[in-house]
Amino acid sequence: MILREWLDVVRDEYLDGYVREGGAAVKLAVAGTDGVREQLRAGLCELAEARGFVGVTLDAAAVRLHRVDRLFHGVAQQIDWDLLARAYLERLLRARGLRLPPESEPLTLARLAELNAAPEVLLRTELRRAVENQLFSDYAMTREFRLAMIHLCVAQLDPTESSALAVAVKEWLRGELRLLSEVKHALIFQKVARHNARHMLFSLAHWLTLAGKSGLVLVLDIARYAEVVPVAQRGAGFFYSTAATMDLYELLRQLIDATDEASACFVGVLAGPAFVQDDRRGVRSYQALYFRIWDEVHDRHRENPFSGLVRIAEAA
Amino acid sequence: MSQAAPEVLPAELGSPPPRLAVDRVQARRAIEALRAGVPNRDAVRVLSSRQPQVETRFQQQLEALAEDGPAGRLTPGLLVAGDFGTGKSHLLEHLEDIAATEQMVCSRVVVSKETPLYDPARVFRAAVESLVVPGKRGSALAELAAGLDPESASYAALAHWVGRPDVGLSSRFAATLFLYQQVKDPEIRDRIVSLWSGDPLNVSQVRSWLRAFDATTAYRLESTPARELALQRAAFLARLILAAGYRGWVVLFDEVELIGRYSFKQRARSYAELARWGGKLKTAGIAGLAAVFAITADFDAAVLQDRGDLEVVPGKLRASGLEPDQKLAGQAEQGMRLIARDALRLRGPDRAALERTRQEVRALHARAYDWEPPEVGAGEQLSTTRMRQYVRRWINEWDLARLYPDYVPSTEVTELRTDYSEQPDLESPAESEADGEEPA
Repeated sequence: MILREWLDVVRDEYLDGYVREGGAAVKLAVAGTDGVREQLRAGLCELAEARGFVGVTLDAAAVRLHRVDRLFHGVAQQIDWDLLARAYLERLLRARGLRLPPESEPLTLARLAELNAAPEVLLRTELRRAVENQLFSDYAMTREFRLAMIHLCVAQLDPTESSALAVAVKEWLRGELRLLSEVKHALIFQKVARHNARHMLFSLAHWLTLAGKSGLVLVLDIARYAEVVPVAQRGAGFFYSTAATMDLYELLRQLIDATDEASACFVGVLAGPAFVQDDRRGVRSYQALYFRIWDEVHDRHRENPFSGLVRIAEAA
Repeated sequence: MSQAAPEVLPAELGSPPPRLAVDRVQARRAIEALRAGVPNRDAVRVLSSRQPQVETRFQQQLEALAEDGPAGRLTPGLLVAGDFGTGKSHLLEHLEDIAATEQMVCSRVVVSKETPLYDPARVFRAAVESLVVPGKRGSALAELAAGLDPESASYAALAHWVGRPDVGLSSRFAATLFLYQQVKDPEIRDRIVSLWSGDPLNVSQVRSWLRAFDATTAYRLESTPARELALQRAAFLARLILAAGYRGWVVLFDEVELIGRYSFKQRARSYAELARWGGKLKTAGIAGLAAVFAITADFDAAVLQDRGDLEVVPGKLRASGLEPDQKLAGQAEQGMRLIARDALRLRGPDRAALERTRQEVRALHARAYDWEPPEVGAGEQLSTTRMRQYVRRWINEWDLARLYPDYVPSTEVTELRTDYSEQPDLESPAESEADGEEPA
């Protein structure tokens, strides 16, 4: 299949339609060459930006993608959390009929009180309650994620009181927090780990829509997992054992099965030819994924661009 | 091996597809899931499972569970067997829906590299992570705990049961149940729920909490082997579910055939765990829980018979002379018997069922893409083609017809066969010391 054709289907049938309306999808694209894979990465990122999504790319050479917590942290490190909190707050405040300061100014309670001729102490109580009420019962996000976003929003409104906690919350999201006790006051008692990272990822996709974005486009370049390179010839980055490769395939299997739970999320997984050719490290080595994406039923002459697995042989 | 798609009778001029009670996004979700052969809730809502014999047995199982749980009796499990692509996962999704309407708490466990059946701790963890409580949202176990009423008779029964010496639970369960009701600190409550979920707990920390209530001498907090602790957690959770006012805990296991790829000892352990979760081990089962397993139909022939597990597994274990192996041999035999003798075979679709399903999938595709799909596959002859292949074929042809209106699809089917050969990489831990990197 031609790269441009597939990207057009992703744009028209997924990003502009189904995913924007709240759906979720996981698609694997096998690129014939490294050059095609690079173009796929760039193409998906451009689409994401052009269609109002937040696009995040993770490369297995740099991030241990088979660890779902590392995957989430890798995504979190590319997110501008303060910008999103502000965007969410602006929508909330506009809906309440409040005048807002320009983008170049902080969105503080003091400034809001001034602009709206309202007592700051009353505004603090009212807005804090509004944020908590709206977010805390939004079960599309996990409890820890809701609490984290509440505190990031509160820190925007009241930076003098809450900025240290907000810094700790962002470190927690990015996997950089040294001591879990630093987020205790946010009522967060667990680190992001295997049991909750996938839910955190889906929570993020939902949060993006609350902040006015179309959703999340996550591009995972997994080509490194199928590479077998003698130690003496290895370059920079991570190389993976067969067991880790299977862990990755299990993670992808879980993502495919969990699209029910996700919204506004498109995951594009990019692989090299070994993914479909190598019996030991390719997809055939992990039947649970293989059975889900392999085109056992296919057309003799035309590839279906909606398929879970497509082969991109030509550049645009 | 490729084979031509089943012969198709000339397309008829059909009526528009029926309207469905799902919105466009739900219909699209269903179509996306059906493309992957992984039925989701929306697909199951529209496409009924058409396995009435299994549904009847399941209803009987739920009724038994509702009585067995409070009485402390084991409830026998169900095992459904079907060829690859015949709708096992779809059926499990449907049974989960039924269980939820009967006020049962449900878990789905997909046997996988991350969740090997031979490891009760990981199985339990997967069951907790997938826990669904009817009518509740958010963290399921936290919701269950928060729903406990200390004034209720069911809570009193739980508190009494957890401390009984003959039940044999570690005293950490009685201690943490006591603490959960006494403390108001959300962090401590969160830690306690995490312990119940499978996280380790710092014993000295629990002792410090108990000290605040002068209760340190009441609970020994003895150390318990990890494997045993996992089983105790499951037993405790089953009781907690009853105390929270639900009628029982249903655990649905999918892709059980993966155990065929384990090494000998892990296959033996897996068979034993199958028997345990299936309520077949009188002294080692979990009361208040009913399991349903889905396995490929040829597992019996390929693994139990042809590979000889039915004879070889207990034979080799008994030959070792070691006492744990003798015990394991008996338990493994129970599990294998469940597969060999008690399997409920899924029925293939007859022509009428196939046509109904085709219309339902056509209606889903129509709703998802807001168009009228042509009548592909109408009246086609039955062959060995599985329901999954029919569904994938229809969706594939409708996709192509919609994208390329002038193109006439020509479908080819490739058989996918389950591989039962041993695969050692499936048993290596999820996170190795080198964190997955190849050793230098």
